[in-house]
Amino acid sequence: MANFRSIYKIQVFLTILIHLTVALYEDQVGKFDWKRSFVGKVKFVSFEAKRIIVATEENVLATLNLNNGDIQWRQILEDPSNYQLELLHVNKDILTVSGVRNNWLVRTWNINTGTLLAEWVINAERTVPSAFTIINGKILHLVPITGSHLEITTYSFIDHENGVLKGVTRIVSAPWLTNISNCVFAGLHYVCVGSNQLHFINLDQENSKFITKPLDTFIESEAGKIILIEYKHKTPSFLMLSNNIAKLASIVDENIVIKPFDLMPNAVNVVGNGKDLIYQLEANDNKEKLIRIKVKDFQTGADEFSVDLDYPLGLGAPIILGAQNRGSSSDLLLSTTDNALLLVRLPEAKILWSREEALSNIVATEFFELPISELDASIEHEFDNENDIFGMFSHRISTQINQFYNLVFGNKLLQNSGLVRDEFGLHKIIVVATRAGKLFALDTLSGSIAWSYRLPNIQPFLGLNGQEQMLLYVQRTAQFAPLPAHCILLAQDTITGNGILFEFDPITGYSDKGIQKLPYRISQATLLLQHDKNFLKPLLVLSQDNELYAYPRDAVSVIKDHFSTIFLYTANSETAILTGFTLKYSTENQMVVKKSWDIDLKPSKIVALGVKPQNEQVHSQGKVLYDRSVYYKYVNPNLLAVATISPDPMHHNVLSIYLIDGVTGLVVYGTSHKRAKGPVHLVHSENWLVYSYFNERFRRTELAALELYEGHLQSNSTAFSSFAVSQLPHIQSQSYILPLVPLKMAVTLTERGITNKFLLVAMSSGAVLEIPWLLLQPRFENMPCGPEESCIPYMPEIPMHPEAIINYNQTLGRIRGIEVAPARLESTSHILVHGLDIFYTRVAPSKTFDVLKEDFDHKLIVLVLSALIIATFVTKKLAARKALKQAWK
Amino acid sequence: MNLIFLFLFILSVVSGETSLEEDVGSSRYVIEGRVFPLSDYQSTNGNWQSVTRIHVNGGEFIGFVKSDGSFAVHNLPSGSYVVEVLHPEYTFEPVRVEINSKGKFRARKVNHIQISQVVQVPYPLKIKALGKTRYFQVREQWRITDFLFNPMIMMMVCPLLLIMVLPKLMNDPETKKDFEQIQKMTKFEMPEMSDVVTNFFSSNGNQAGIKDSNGKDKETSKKGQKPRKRAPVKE
Repeated sequence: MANFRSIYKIQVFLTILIHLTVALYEDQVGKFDWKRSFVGKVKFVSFEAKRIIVATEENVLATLNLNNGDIQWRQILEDPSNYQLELLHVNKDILTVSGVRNNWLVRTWNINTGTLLAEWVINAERTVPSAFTIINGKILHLVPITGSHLEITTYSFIDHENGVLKGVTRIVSAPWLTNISNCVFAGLHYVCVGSNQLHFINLDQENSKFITKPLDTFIESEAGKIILIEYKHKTPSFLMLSNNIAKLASIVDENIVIKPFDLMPNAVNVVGNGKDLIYQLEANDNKEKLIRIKVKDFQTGADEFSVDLDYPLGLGAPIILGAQNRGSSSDLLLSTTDNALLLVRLPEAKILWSREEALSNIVATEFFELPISELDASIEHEFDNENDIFGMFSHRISTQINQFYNLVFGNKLLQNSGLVRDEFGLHKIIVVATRAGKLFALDTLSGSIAWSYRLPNIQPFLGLNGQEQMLLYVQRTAQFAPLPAHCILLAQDTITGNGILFEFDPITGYSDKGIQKLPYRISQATLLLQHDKNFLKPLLVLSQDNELYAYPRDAVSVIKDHFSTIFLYTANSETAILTGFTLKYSTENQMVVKKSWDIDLKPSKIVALGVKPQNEQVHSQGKVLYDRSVYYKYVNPNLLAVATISPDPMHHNVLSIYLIDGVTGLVVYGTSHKRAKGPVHLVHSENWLVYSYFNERFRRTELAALELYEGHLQSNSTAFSSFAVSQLPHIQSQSYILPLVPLKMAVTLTERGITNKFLLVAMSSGAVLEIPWLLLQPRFENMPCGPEESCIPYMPEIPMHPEAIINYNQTLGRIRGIEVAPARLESTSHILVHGLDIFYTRVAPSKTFDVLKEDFDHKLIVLVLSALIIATFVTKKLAARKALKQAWK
Repeated sequence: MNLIFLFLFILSVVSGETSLEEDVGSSRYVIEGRVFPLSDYQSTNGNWQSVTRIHVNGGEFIGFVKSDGSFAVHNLPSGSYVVEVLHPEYTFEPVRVEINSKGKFRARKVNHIQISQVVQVPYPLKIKALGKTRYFQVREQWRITDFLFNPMIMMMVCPLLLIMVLPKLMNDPETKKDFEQIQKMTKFEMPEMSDVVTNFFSSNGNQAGIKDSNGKDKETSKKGQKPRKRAPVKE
């Protein structure tokens, strides 16, 4: 019997699952999804024939094609927040040293395929910042001991035990040594600058000592601090920078020789055609071509030639990362302050390619609907001159003829201007703000960059768990033509930490006010729902001194009637205090923020906060039970989900989940999990919450789902009020095993909320899995579970079907976020997964029930119908003839 | 039941101890193993090693595969780890590796549900591809049989066959006669049908046409009735 039941269960499950999994067909690959791969801000670079080897601050090793900048192969090393690449050395094979504090991994890679050749470990005792170099096939590790000496450890690859390299350490006395950042490598030498003195040591020689030279013998003015910059040349050389002027110094026979000419700090050396040349970038007076590349002779400093670079607008100031000479031409690799990578080919100074590596770290995302086409907009102008009836009539006729023309012959307008709204809202603009302080607009159809805008000196806010984010708010969408869409970005000033406000048109990237520096630090911001006369939704920004500001500034008159219904909350991750504020006491002249509640969660640490998407629609008000009664959902739009972790002597860590009403501060529900640790991911939607955590006891990731119900009676069917609490909601909960490590979780969002919900889980493996909410929904007790009740029997472990991976074999590196936006088609939502790669796709959780399938055969239908029509006419003729014959018989 | 609980308790205590030692233990260990892809893939794609990664505890520690398929993940303190082999095209089974504080290794299958169940696997690890990952649904292909066995097509084709092909196949005179009779019957039926069609189509034509067809209708109906009456007499 039991056996039979299990078979029945499996069968039921399968039948349901067939309807649940919405997989791609193989021919749909790349039809509506795209992926862009990045490597991050380049730290080390090496030219190798037809490719460029880069090691980046994202801890990525990659080779780029010299001619088009495409990634040939890419190896993602450990997490950059812990590990950093310290050394890149290319000599037949690639050697990298990456690590953290006192543990380093030395790896060698095949240059063509990116396959690992060997891997060793270096364990040092000291945990101070140190430097690596490679000399004569041996790794040298230099550890400064402040005020005392320099420890030089030599590791040879032959001497290792179980993969751990054994080094020979020698100590060089250096009592002046303070910081390793004052030192550079110059060929086989190591050069440091102390107070008024220059110290250098030949690393190649055994028992060599630091040689000290007084600084004032080579530099007359002691005006500024001297900074040393590495300069690669066959004679050991380096640049000495003071007052923004660099001098080239060489070590010749234990003496320092200074070249008599001045250089820019970004000068590099290129050897080719028997010439020894210095390349450097200079600012140009020419407004058209801002950058000039100057080439000087290494020995004399005489100008060989200079060429003006047609530098694209919108990029930050460049520096030269590396250069190589290839016979008649030479290539310069430039990196800009906004992390873009450019390859310039000399002598014609043509930019061969550019890569926007800023996109490898996105901190804010927003989807925008495009404006309607000019033609559709022109219909709106019909009543512009109301007196002229004939004019209006002719206007209407002409636009309608145009529309008809477009319908028949295809829309030429759409193809030309490109950024025009389509019928189903599938074509959108994604505005992303990057950590480097650059805004990009991406086209959802192609993934191309529509516009970009660089904001100098801004940085993201530091959120919970050190997560960096900026804030984007949509004040006005594109539907209020002819008024353009309006968007606000909030960020932080890198220097003062004060707020930065940037208003722009998300479709064109045009900003009429530019960057606005706010005189306060931002602690919270919220967008109100009421429009002002220009259809702008006012933005309220709360400063850290609890002062409230409204943007646009005259919006106070619009919101003055709503003061009693505006509430704010803040969550302080340091003090673990949640605070609620009310605007009840505000007047038209002055907005007053009064604290209405606070919750102290100490000694716990807030690890995650889940709010519902603001534009979410809840379609069905309740769930139909098996006795056909309705169980009403508890849909509280003000509900916050807070996850905290507190240390506990008995259970290591205790994870607590609270559901708090953001208006009243009422804790609606609370639960805890013992021996649980983070990372905790929260997904909060409709009347449910899903969170994941790591169960230390069973050493597995678990997923728990909570569902809130009001009961059989609905308290208020028209509007929800947080103050009208008659009884606490009923909670259903269930937990599951997640056989993977989640990095991020999100939920699909559709226009009206009719479509089923899918949970999107970004896994550490680089795949994004969709899990139907139906699979997680807590089962009711004493309720039969089956397809009739649209209920799937409980399974402790969530199945992982490869068909449910929305990015199929396109593995994504280091996923940092999943952004979801509804399309105008109810069935579809837009998904943007970002991290080291950007992946865009569309998902339809209930399949595309509102459009014809893409494999729908229009031609066949037309063919069959026309054949039928022809056949009827032919038979009519034939029949008539036959009837005539019959009549004559 | 109690036993299970006791066991779980012991297990939790043990794991607690190991996790405590994680912080204390300074010695670092290496997880070693070898990846065996499917043989067909090895031959078709010589560069499979560079796209294969080893994730320990979901990317906390990372290993890469050498050209001979071997891998080593360095710098691990003692503890319990899940070793996954990641490849965009192939699925591999994860393995749990436990390193105790004395540096002893034990590898077993990952079982999230029954944690107490230990199915040991050899260490150093030998991880074989389970198979090609199937990311895509298979699209239904157009086949001639599907088309022919479509009920609509069957409805059209079968009567056609009966009417057109069968009489030609039959050479037996008696059956031929019978068949002719049937044909006669159908012949008389047929004009009715065609008239209906012509009626339908010419109704929106000119009035004269309608009249004509009406006239014909009467005639044909008369003719149609006669053989019907005759037929039973003959029988």
